[in-house]
Amino acid sequence: MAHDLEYPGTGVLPDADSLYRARGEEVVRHRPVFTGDVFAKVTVQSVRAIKIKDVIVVQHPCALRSNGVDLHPRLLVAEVRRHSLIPADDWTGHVGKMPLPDLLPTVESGRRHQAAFFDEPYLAGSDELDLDKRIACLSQAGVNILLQRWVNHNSRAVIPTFDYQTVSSPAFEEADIIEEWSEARIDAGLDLREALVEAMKWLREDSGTGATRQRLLEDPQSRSTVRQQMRLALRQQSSGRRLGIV
Amino acid sequence: MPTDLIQESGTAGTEINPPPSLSETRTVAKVITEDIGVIRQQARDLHEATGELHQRSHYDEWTARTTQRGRSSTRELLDEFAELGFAWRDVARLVGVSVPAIQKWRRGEGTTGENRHKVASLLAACDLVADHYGIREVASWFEMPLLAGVPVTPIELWAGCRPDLVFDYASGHTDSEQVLTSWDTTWRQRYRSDYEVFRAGDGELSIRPKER
Repeated sequence: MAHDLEYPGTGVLPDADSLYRARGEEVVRHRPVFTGDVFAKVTVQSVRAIKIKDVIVVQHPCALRSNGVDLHPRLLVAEVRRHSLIPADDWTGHVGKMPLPDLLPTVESGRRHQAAFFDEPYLAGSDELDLDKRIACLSQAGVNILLQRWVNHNSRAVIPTFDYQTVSSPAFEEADIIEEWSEARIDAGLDLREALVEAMKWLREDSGTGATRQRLLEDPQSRSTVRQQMRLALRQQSSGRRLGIV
Repeated sequence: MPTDLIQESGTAGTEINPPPSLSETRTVAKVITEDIGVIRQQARDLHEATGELHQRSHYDEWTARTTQRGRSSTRELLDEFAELGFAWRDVARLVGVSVPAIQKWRRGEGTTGENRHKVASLLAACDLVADHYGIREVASWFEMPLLAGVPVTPIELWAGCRPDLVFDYASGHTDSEQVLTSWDTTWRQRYRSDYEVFRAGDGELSIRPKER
């Protein structure tokens, strides 16, 4: 069976709900910036011009941060703008785009469906990616589809999304854990950056097996153990017990 | 009598060869083969019947456990998923709702009766496979592919409305390949890739074409 560009779902229309982790008011500030995040009104750098665009982050998850916490100063993004709904069987045709059906699900006008245009890439300063202007985060399946299409656009290679899943799932798992950690710690009084630093430090500690928790996330069999440890650590923290985190 | 007519020679005529005579041993072997064939068919029928019966008993027990679990609040049920080590995105997928919906329920916002039942039934299924089949780390079990290199996990089966396959797989009475075939007859072709994941020189997971 030859592989082709994939789309979410199995029906005539793409299953938009499975493409996103969160949209609109569902998006939370304490989730770390990740591949596939969509931001509104970002100041971007074009050829001899500064523009304001809605954009999607297309940089690979492993290439977003320099030290695990801070984003690289400049990130590669692609313009997002309105586009008619692309039927599922036509996702193989629009190779230069990432369809974003129902990106604005509460909007009734033509803005409801949008697409990212890979032939309109920009550099965005990471300080321009205002978390209050993040309007969508892709699901893991959505990130895999975005990576497949982005790589295809740049190389013409079609790599099955399940291969991307193997490579990107540890980073996605890490983002989930940092989000959960940050939510709890911000409730306890930390600011966002303090919570992110704390979470990353915890992930980089030895899990007691000789491997860091971050490394354990690469193995699907170990992930639930890391989550259990995280929830225990958060409970201990909230009950005032010492975590061993400076 | 015209000479061109074939002369009637009866059943003992020289034109007809008699069947080879069977020795007593060969006759007994034939009977045994037939008998074993019948027994084998009966075993196959029995296997199918017990398989269906087992599925029904799984379903009945699962329903009873769901009723029991349904007495807890959704928030309490979600706390148990947290204890088991489930990812919230997996719980969302298994229940068929969004991650933000799960996050709202964790904060105590109300759910519909239908969604509460779905959460209870998932936890009941976890109870069932853990109790009957000794699956200790049930969240990890749900996340592991049925077969190495094939990205189908019990999560996919459950989210695809095939709890029967989840229970069958957990029971060990059906092997992984049979479960996968019941799930998707094209799985061998669908999940064949010309690429492989490897650890690159910088220590990160990467993708490259397989060597031919």
